[in-house]
Amino acid sequence: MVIGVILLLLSSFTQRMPVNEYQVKAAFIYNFTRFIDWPPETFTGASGPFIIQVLGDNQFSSYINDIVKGEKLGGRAIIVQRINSVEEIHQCNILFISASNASEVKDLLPDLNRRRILTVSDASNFAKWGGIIRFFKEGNNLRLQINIDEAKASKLNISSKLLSLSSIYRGN
Amino acid sequence: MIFRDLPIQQKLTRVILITCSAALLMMAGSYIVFEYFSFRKAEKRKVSILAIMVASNSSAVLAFQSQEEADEILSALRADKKVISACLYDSNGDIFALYPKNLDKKSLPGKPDVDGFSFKNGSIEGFQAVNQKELHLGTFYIKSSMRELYSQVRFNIIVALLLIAGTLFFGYFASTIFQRVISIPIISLQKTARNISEKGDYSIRAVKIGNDELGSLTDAFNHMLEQIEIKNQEITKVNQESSKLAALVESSGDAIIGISLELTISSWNKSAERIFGYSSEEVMGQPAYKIFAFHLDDQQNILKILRAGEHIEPFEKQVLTKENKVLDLSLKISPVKDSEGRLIGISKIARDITEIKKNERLIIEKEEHLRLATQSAELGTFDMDLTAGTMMWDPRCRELFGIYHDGPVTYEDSFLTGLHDEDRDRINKIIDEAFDINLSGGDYDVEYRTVSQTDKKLRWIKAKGKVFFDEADKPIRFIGSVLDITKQKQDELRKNDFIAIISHELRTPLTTIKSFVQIVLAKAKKNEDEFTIKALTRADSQTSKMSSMISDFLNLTRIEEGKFKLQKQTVDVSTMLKEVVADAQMINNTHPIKLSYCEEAKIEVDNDKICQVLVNLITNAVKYSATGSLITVGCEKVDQALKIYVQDEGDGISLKDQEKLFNRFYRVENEKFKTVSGFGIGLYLVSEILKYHDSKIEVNSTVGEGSTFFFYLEDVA
Repeated sequence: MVIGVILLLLSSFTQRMPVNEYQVKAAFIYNFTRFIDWPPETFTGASGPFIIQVLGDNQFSSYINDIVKGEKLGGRAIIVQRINSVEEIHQCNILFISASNASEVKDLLPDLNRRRILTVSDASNFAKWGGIIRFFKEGNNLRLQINIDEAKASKLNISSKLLSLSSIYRGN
Repeated sequence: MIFRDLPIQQKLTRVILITCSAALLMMAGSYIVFEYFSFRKAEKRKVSILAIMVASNSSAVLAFQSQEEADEILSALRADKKVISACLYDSNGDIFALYPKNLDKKSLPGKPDVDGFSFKNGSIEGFQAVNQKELHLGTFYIKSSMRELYSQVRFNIIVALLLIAGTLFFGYFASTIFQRVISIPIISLQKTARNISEKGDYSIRAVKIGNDELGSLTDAFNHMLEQIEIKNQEITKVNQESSKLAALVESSGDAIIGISLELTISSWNKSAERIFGYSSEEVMGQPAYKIFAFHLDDQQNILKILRAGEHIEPFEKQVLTKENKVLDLSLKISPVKDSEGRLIGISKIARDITEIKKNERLIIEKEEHLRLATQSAELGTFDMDLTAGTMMWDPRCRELFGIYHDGPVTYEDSFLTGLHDEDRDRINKIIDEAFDINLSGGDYDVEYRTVSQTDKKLRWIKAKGKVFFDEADKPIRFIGSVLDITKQKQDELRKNDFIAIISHELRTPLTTIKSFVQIVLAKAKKNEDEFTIKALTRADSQTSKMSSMISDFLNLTRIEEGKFKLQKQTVDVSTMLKEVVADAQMINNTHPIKLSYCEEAKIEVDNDKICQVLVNLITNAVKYSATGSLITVGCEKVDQALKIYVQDEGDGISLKDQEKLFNRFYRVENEKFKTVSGFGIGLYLVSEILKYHDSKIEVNSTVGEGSTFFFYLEDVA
């Protein structure tokens, strides 16, 4: 019965599968919630929501919203917040920075990492700048680049399965 | 051959082998089934573990759609040769990656299914969901071959079969050896039993092997044999007895008839068939009264008497045979009882006494005739039973011996004592001879005197009798009659006295005549007066004949009167015969008389009497043979005795005449010899004289060929 319901949900989900790149990126961001562990203190209370902030790019945040709508993570509701400026960044779990806004957060990145915020962007030098995960395209496939040092510094526990798929960036 | 008919050895071997095979089959079978299922279970678990691992590793590749990585993960499945195919479906249910890479997608399930594995067509296949922290990312499908399992099962089956075959092979040898422990005692028992039944020898015993149930069986078998043997011996004994009895019954000259309690005939022997004329088949089961002409009441009566345990005395009865012949039977009826003494039948023994009865009646008739005859002829009778030693005299016989009582009479006290002293030895001797069948043929014919013991009266008796002999020629009975001939005898004695006187008186003048004839003859020979010589020679021979005849008469009267006496002397036979022949030739010139070769021998006899015997025999030969025929006198030794004979070539004597030839005054009745003169006393005297010499005159004669008279005397030389 339960399986039947899941299948039903999956099928409805399937029909809404992303077809464009943003949709894929939105799915990836959602999937990060399953391969990365956030320490409990990053949440507000035991049932504090899982917060995804999207800086810039209004369209993208709506894609994410579509995906996470109704989803829960360990009993926590997933909330997608669109922000327009760096100032609006507050305590969240995932911060997506669109490429156009990346330069704005370049200096903030070490602080964000310390605050245990997974920083994700599709800006080309994002990893180099100190961001944790960068989307990049390889042929038709969307791939991930992970700055392993920053990831370690942020104390976020990234699944080895995810790491094994990603291109690892090492500074220095 | 069906199992129950197999020899016990094969049965045991088969039972052992079947048991072994069944045990092995069950063991191997359950092992194989267990192996099969546990292998399937293990295989299922292995496949499911593999699927879980692959699914777990595939979560990221599905989450982040890394085709390369997905291919790599699936290609690692090649390490397991059993994996036939595998694939990853994404969360939409589309195939994301597959193994092997060149696999036709159509061979894979179009859509993922719920988790779980199942066996299908020699393989195991199923789905495993790919999740990451509750997020469903896709499904992993895997199909693994079960060929190895099945070949393993096949291999196990073959090994099990080989194992069973091997076990049976060794089991066969082992069982053929071990089954003997059981089969050998049984087979030995069976052999013993067969041996016994083939040979019929119940003294054979089975050999006991061990103390198990078979040992007990052997003991029981042997015990049974012992009992059979004892019973057998008893049966054999009883059979022998009964066959002896049956043989006795069959061979019995008496009819032996068995009658049942229902009064029907139950056995009928050969003699019964012969006597009654009914065959066994005709009478068996028939009512007995039909045969014995008894009324049924009589039979019932007999049965009643026998039931009461009483005895029925043998009795005589007349019955009719099948041919309606009347038979006199002596019947003996006895009860037939079983071993417990119960009456189970009646036996009848019937003896045919018809002949005996007939003889008895005949004897009664004859005795009556005899009684009448003896009464009228004043004959006395005697009857001596020589085996019992008893003697029966009738009153007349007793009277003739001067016995006037009815008490028992004996041979010694009544007979011999009653004889005249001068007759006693002679008669005793004659009776002894009469008892010897070879000497007398059992005939007895004598005359003697008796002297009454009461009044000393003398009687002359003529006794005639017959001795009867048994099969061994032993005398058993002596019967006869006695007749008083005193009157005739007195007449005869007077006649004899007269003859004696005449003869005596004639003899003296005859001697004087003979001596004067001889003197004149001598004188005539001197004068050579031929006529006178002839006449006187004739006169001389006639006087010699007359003198010889007178001698015969004198001898006859002496014998008749019992005054005959011998004056024995030793005589040379040769000399005596020469003289007799010379004298005879002189008297009888009609026949040549020849003395044949004579042995040198001496005899002790009364010379004159034996010469008289020879003269009489020669005279007889001359009388009864043709003129001129040869008469031969001779003697020869036969063993210790001397045989003296006179042989003629006359007409011979018939056997009938030979019997009576030596009786007094007997003359052969024949036309031819009517002219022959004589009184018939010559041969009688010969016979009597020889009797006094313990000898006997005998004759060999064939009619037409002549006769030889001979007698034997003891050679005393």
